[in-house]
Amino acid sequence: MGENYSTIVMLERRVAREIKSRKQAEKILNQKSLELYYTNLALIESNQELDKRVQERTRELEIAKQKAEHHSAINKRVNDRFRLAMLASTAGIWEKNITDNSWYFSDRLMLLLGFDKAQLTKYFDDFSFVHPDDLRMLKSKVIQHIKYQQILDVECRVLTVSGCYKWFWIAGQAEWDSQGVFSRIAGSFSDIDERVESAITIQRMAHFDHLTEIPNRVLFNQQLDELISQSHLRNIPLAVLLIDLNDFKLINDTLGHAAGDKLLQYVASTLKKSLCSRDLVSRLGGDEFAIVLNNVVDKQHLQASCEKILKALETPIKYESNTLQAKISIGAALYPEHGRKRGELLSNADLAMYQAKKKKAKGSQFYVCEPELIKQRASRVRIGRDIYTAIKNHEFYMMYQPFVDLRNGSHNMVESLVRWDHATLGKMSPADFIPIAEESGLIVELGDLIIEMVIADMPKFMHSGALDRLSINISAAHFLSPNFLRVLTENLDKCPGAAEHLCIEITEGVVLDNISLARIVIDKLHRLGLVVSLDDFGTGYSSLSYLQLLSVDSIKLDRSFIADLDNSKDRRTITESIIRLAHSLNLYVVAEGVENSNQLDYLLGYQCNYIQGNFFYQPMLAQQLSTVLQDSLFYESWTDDVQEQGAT
Amino acid sequence: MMGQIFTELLELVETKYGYEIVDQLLSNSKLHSGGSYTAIGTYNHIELLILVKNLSELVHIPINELVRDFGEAIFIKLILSHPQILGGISDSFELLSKIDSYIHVEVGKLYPRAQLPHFKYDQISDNHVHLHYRSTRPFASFAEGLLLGCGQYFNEKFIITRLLSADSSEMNVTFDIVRQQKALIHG
Repeated sequence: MGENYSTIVMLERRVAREIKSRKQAEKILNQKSLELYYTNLALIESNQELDKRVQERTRELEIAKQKAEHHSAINKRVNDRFRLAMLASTAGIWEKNITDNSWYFSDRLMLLLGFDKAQLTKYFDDFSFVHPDDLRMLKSKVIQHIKYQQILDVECRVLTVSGCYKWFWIAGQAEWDSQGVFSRIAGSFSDIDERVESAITIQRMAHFDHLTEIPNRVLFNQQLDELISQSHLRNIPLAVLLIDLNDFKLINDTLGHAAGDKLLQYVASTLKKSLCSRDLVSRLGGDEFAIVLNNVVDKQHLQASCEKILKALETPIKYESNTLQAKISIGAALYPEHGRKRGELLSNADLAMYQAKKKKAKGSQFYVCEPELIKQRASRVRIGRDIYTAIKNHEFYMMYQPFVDLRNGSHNMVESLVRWDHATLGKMSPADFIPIAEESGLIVELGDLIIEMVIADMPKFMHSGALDRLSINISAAHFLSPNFLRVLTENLDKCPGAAEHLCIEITEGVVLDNISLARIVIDKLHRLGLVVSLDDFGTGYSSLSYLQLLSVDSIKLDRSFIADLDNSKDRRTITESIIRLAHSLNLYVVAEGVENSNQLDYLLGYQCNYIQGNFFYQPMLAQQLSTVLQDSLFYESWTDDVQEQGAT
Repeated sequence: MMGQIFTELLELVETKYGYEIVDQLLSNSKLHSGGSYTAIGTYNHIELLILVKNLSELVHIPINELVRDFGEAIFIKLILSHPQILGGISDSFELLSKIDSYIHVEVGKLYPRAQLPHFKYDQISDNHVHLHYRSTRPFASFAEGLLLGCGQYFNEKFIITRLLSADSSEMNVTFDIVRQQKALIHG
């Protein structure tokens, strides 16, 4: 009984424990259920949130997809454009990817050079297809570009599959990654072979004479400047030689230009052969050559070099059936003695050449510049400047010298003579300043002034009624200038009737310069009422045919003939013959420079028409001439009276 | 501590010694929970220590031996009630190697408040491992029992010895485990 009871009690405790456990479990389950409920709610909320995020993400993905498609379309268009540009481009494209050490070459590049990808890869890797002379420059440019980002832009020669080098314009651009590491370089090859070759040809044409293939004036000037600089640095003299072919025009005129060209080529090649390779030979133009001799030790050395050149050109050449002989005049100037600059040296060599030219009748000559020569030239330049000022300031004035008519001793023919009182040099002889005025071109302005001054004096002379003709000396250049007739007529308009009392004296130079124009001018002068006289006859060419061609009215025998009349029978014979011939052509003759009675007697015997010279009249001012002319009128009337009385 | 441990322990005691011993144990132990446990509840682990100590006195079996036996018996029950925990594991050492990295991770998901010990797995050879147990609770023997249960589950025999060191305790032990196939044993 007791055991059962304790068992029952124990079972009750068990049941109680079980109940308690169940309740705990129920409580826990309820809690868990509640937790699950809230968890479920949270999950639903979370799911909704997730759905929302998924929708958002989906929308974002859709937008991203649309963007990607848009970019893809753009990329495709860009790629298509790039591909088309590559096809259309005449340039070949290359690219090197440094990261994976790979090369890309466009089809056009392979076509331009004629190599396949493997060959190009090798050539691009070691630059071995670049011309050795251009290699250093190209490598330097590439390095400068990669190191300092300078422009990569080179013109160089590149080997092509034909085995020939061609000119290409190579451009390139490198890329660096975000860490600044050089990662890629790409560029182009453009075929510029034709352009460069043309440029080289043009350059050659611009610097070399086409006929003789030696440097022309442009290159000569450049090289002379360089040689002068070197000479200055090394303190070693050099010489500049100017060479002119004597009477080259005659060869061209008589044998044709082909003969002239042949001679020029011969001279050029001979000059080159006779000089050292370091010396410079150039054709400046026409028949003018120039040489620069380097390392000229002294004047003797220079003279020896000039003689060597003359000797080399002594040998004549055959041209068709003719023999051509190059006769030259060399003028030489030394650096630094005769000039430190190109212009000065050439100018002084030119000066020297004209000295050599003076003796051209004796054959080829050379002349080395002298300081005295330079000084004289400087003086002439100064006088030239003074002439210009003197013209503006009317420092010139006119004097007049009457002729004597050998028939009756009257003096109604007069020559006007220009005179100049130089401010510092005093009275200057026309023989000194006229050539300078002619050289400088001022003779035209001076001539205009002379015309103006003489015609201004004319009323005084015409008033006397004794003036027959008054002659004005006009130089060749002035006579043939368009100014001459215009200025003359303008002045004649101011003095009516003057034309019939004027004579224009010209020289043979007019004929030599332009005979057809000279004839036109003479004709116009005749129509205006003037006469024309040929001055200094007997010197120069003195071609008698000119007398007819030019329709001159008289000749003036040069004073050199008159001076020799006393001493030379030959001269007397020539003088008489010229006078006779002139008369046969209906020209009257004036003898210049008659200084004594013997000369007068001879000329009377030859029936010369007029004489002029200090023996009778010195040049005089206009006022004096007026008096002389009036005297002449009196003399004429007196002789007329005597003759009339004699007759009665 | 998981209520299932308590309920399994009491079931084991009842099976082995009858409910009278369970009743005495619970009555003597004066537990805060009153000894009414449910598998889905959580209880203070001290109660388990009290129960084991009092049971040892009641049945005259040393505490460690009791705890080890209990661990060995409960392993199969735990596995059977949570089969998903094994996943694709088919080898005992594989299971041991995955206690920290996989099994306790899954347990943590089921019982977020669970305070789990750490097991460091060190394979010596194919059939020989060192497993280092470290916990904030003195249940090294319980762990040893679980290991033995594991061996049984995979039809193997684990020969387990403790590698003694200066800091060895019920909270910090290295087990030396050598496994033998049952067939070999009987063979």
